[in-house]
Amino acid sequence: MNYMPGTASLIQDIDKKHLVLLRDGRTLIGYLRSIDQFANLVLHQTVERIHVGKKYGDIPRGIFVVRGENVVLLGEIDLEKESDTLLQQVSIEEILEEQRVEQQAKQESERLKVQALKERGLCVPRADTLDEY
Amino acid sequence: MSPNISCPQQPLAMHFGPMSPSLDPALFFSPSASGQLNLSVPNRLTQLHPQHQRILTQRQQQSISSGKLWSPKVDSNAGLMTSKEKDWVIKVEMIQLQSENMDDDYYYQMYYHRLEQRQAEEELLGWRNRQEPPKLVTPFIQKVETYNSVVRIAGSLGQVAVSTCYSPRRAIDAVHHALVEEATGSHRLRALHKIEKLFLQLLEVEEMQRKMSLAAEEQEQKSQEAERIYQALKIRACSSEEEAEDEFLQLLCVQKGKKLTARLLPHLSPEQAEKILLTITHHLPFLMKKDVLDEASISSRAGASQAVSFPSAPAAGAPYMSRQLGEVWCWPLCPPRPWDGAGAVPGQRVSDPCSPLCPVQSLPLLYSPLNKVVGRMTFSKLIEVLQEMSRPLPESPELPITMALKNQFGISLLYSLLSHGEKLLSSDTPLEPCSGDFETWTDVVFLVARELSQVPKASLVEPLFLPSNLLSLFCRYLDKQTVHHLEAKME
Repeated sequence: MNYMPGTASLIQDIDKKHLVLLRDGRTLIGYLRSIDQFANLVLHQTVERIHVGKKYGDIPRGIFVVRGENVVLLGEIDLEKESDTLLQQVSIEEILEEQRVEQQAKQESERLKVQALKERGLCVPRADTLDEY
Repeated sequence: MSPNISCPQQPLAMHFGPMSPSLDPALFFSPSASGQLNLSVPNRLTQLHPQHQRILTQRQQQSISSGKLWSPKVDSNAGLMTSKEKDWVIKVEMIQLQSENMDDDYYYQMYYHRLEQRQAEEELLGWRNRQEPPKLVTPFIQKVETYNSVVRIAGSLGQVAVSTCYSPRRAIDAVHHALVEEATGSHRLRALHKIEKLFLQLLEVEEMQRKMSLAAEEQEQKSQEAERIYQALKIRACSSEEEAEDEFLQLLCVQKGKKLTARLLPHLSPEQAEKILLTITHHLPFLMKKDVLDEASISSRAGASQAVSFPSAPAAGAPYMSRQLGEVWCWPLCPPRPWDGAGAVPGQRVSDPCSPLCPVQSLPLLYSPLNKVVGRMTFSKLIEVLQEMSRPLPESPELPITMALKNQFGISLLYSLLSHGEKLLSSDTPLEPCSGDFETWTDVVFLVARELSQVPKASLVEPLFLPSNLLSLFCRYLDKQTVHHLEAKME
């Protein structure tokens, strides 16, 4: 990127710690080891981080190969700043439990919403979890 | 036992990777760019947001000043990607950046033109010393012009898919053969389709214009293309009164149709341009009325204005926007205005141009090119156009001129016509008028003066441009008092 003005390339990001957000909503953190022209990524010592409210939990995953089209965004993690976070790390079990509770609450509110709309004669087309179009 | 195996179970242990072995930039990149940058630390500050840039430089300075060393803990897993592989990826990316035509690269190239222009200006003003914006130099690699995605091997029964970096997934030549069936569909849909099609043709004409090397055959080609678009517009003779049926007028009702016409006018011959002007003036009341209506509200075509239906209580089973059976409600080409629920009374049309609730008028788009057309017209042609504007209308007691005075485009066009007439009359060039022209001219001038004085100042709209010779025009025909009165009005 430095000598190619107006362009972006991942070459400079190799071997650095990155946070990768995927299209299905997962957040991966790992060392970017290899890329290709489609921005497929090889992540090393990857950790899947689940956030619920102010808490988060890390699940170690090992090596990830991510197909480029599934990446929403990715960014380098500043290792010095990484530790100053207001978020509280908890164990995996706890965070999975929190996630389940949050999911349930969301489904419940969605259900109520759909019911309320139905009573008023309106229907909202169900958004498919698999993408846009 | 073997101490060299590092324990993998440390997801939280932060290894500080060293800088990856960077490749020699000189191999690929512009020498001028590398000259100004500090080569020891890859300067990635070129394209960052200025705020970000500041933060990074500050941090760099801090770390240097505090004597903190980059801790060189060796990352044993680094270097998975060899420099050869990195070079290869960079090469592919560079190839992808090569582009000859503007279509692929319009925004980037425009951005760079403007950046260079701005820097040249600033340099001229002496603000900075000559700093060339870093240029992207791509390696000259012959791009394969034609690429068969599918290879037929002689004597084989099928096709072999060839994938390259341009299209890795194109397995077969799937060509879109479906012809858009234009016969069906509402008037409005057809008009929108037509506008899009003609716009693409217009872009090609403009592209030709841009590339013009003044070669004769290219000029010829360009005018042919422009002619084609003009024919497609199907501008009918002004005798036709049925405005809902006139295709050209339907195009003009859409903002993009107006833009199309405005951009096409410079490429047409004077006769064609004048014909367009005549048509627009002939149907001016219709166009002005349509222009003020919000485009987003149109859900069916009946020629007359439509009121927006605000469903105050959603009927059971009815969707949010009312739909006509068999009609498709298509999004307007311009973004819909946000409805101010507090201010707008449901069903009421806001036509006051000064109100923030009033939809934006798009007729003024046509003013500038039409102004140029007017400036080239002969006197007789001018009279013909003015006659259209003074023709009384069957449905309305108002004259087109009076309606024009209350519309920004209308009044600007009127002033432009009068100004040109005055210019022709006061110049020495022979006019070659037809019989009755001068009488019509004086009649029109008196008519305009009368309407101007009668229309209350509050309804008069400010024109886009007020020509300076209008007052002298009025002075010639009217007495001083009237002229002063009109002057006060026109201010």
